[in-house]
Amino acid sequence: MSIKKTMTHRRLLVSVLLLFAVPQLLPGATQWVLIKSSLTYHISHPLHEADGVSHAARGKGICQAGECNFLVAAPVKTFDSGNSNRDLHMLEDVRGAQFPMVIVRFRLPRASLSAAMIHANLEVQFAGHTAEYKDVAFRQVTKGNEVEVSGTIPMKLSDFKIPPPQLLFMPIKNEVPVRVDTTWRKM
Amino acid sequence: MRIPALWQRELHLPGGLPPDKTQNAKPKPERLPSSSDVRAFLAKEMASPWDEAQEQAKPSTATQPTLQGLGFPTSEIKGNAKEQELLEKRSHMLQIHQKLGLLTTIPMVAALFTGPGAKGHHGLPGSPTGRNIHMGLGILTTGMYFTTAYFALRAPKIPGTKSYGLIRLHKALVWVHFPGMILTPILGAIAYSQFSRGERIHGIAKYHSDVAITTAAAYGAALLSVMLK
Repeated sequence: MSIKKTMTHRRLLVSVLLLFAVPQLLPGATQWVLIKSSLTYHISHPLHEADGVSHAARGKGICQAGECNFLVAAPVKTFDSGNSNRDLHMLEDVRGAQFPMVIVRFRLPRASLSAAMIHANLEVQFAGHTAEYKDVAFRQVTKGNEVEVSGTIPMKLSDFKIPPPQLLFMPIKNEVPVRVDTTWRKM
Repeated sequence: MRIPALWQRELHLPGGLPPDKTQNAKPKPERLPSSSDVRAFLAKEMASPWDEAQEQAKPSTATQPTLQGLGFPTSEIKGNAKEQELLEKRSHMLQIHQKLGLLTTIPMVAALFTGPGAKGHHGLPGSPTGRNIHMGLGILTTGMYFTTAYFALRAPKIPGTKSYGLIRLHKALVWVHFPGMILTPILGAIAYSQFSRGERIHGIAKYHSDVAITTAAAYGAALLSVMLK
């Protein structure tokens, strides 16, 4: 048998095998893609409160062997607090030009994806530092092929060694909770 | 899923014997290939050299999503030390602007309160001491104001950024208090010389207090615009 014929034979067999193997391949190849997001940080200052929102996050989850690995990232400069001056100061304080992304990684058992509440251990990379947040609760609502996940990450400036920015000699609070509203689609 | 022995041999799947050994080999109980074996084989079979090179370039595995895999442009992911330096310089200068600006309100308010003492009221002329105190506070206010303005004007601009929010009001009010801060001391100096010559304040100098109050009001509004939200 010529090499060309052998190759054709092998490819044909691979195609047939694929047909048989598809049901077994499916559980090992589930992917989730973030299709809509809203990340909102909240700052408190003695004179006022402010929220900064970003809709530019992207994310992906890969489920394999009973475990799912998720990654969500957003450019720091996409957070909009409604005041360009504050946003530029924020960018400077969190060293957003040097470390332009805020990255969140977490791992979940595949079985937990069907629960109404998810408790995740998050690893957050921000401002050149990494902090871990244990057992962060997220509410999950399934709508057809999409899942809405929302919760709040209890972030603190000190976790990332960010000195609290000041306005008129008064610093903002150390606690900067980040509200997460996301919609994921199973691919 | 059972895979025929012929296919196993053909595809060199685990459980299938190599073709050259099939004739002399003792019959062994065949192990059925697991789904992971099939997956591994398919991945190997279908991967192109280009895919392999790409995978080597990535630090992570197929089970871990990567930042590059999310589709962000490299320019957005990569840090820029020069831009950070620019941001820091800008922020530093604006912090000084902010603090000096707040401190400037002290002599400004004091100058407003000492104004009647310099001008006189209830038909009585102001005392020379009152005029001197008012003038001193005016000079201090003017000096601090222009130093404050210097730090805002000289702070580096970040390319590609647009102003939005109340900072626009803060900047717009400059068009009121900046000319006001030039005009107020000039009118004050004219008024001072008229008083010193024993004359009643006349001409343009009589608008000194009106201009000063308008300037202070615009300055206060500019200060509030960064405080409130």
